[in-house]
Amino acid sequence: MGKRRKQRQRKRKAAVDRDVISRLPDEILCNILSFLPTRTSVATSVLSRRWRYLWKKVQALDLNDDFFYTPELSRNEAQERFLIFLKKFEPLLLPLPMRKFCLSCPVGQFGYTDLIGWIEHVIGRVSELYFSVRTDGQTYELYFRNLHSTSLVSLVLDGNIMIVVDFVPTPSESIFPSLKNLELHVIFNYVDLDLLLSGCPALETLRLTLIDFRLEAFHMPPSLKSLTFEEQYSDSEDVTLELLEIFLVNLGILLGFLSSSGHFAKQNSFGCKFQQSSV
Amino acid sequence: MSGISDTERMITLKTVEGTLFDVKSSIAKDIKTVQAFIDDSDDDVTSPIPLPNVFTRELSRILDYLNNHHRFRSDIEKADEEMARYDAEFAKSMSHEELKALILAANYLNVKDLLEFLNQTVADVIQNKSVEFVRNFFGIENDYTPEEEEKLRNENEWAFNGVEQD
Repeated sequence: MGKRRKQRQRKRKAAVDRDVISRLPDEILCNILSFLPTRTSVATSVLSRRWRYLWKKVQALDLNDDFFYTPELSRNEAQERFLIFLKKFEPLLLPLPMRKFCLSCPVGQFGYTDLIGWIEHVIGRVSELYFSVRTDGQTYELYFRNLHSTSLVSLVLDGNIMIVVDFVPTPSESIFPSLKNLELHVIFNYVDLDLLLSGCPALETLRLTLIDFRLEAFHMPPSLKSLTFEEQYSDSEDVTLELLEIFLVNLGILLGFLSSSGHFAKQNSFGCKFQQSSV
Repeated sequence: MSGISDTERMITLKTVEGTLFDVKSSIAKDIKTVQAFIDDSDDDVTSPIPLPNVFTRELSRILDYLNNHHRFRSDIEKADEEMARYDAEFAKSMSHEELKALILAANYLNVKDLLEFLNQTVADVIQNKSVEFVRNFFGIENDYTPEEEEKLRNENEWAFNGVEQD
């Protein structure tokens, strides 16, 4: 008898211990999920009824079609499934403000203007934004007139997109006053890049892979600590370090992939590391 | 003279078990629940502040964490490096049960940085783990019928790619 009661008590105690986490409010569980890729938080919907729709409230979204491509599915089937998944998200129902928003997919299955609509909708209330499109040769444009954000801390743009900055930022009207990290793997005119950089007064790290880019005199924000050139597509212009140095005021580290001819090459990663040059 | 002094005001906290902890007021500032209590009191807080939801074991760990982080921040040169090392050690030293208890305490006390760090730690633990592992970790009772669960798994099949099998 006594033994059985003890067993029962032990069981009850275990049940109480196990219950601990269910006392955690949804917002904590969502915060935990926000550190995981969206596909992982979607997978938690099978845990129990309470978890069924929890992932829709997570303040980080990683909408990426990579995981839809499996050996069992044809390319079209995979894209179709991703489209169905994407449609589960109404931009207006997103839990803004968000920590992170990643959108990565081919244009075509989802119209480019729809994608830009998403970006314009979230950019003002997200701190990390990652936007990557794969196009079939066509070039799309992204205007920076509407894209103003005080919340943005990190921005990554990737794809066959032409960035156009069509206003001149002033000190009181920066484009991204809080931006610290900027990665651009896009098409850029140096005048526009110069304008964009002048609208990022807090920028610390800049990573550039610029397609068809002529390296001209552009100005780095004085706050910049690290600059990385990953690749250089231009086959005509020689890049000279002297030219760069002029504009690297207060820069701590310059990382580039430098080939013997003066071009930035893919190989020899972190081939050069230049410490701050005295100006 | 104003500014930092050695005779910083101390605040006393009292856990469920009745254990008393003396805390510098600069540390108490990071514990938003305690700070709110202090702000709401008209007079100087002299008697211990009761924390009816916090146990001694958790409070002592939390204060350890906050004290160390304050110390790191005072030495800007090495701050990031040492903090990362300390955090990794801190995360490793906890059992899953301790980790969950600490989240509850940090949530009640509203220590934001620590809570974020603990949540990140949980995320690292459950990443790519099987459904059964995650259920066990959170102590979740599965209230789906087998058919419902099967249906959900099929709907979101892609989400389970690369996830450990049960």
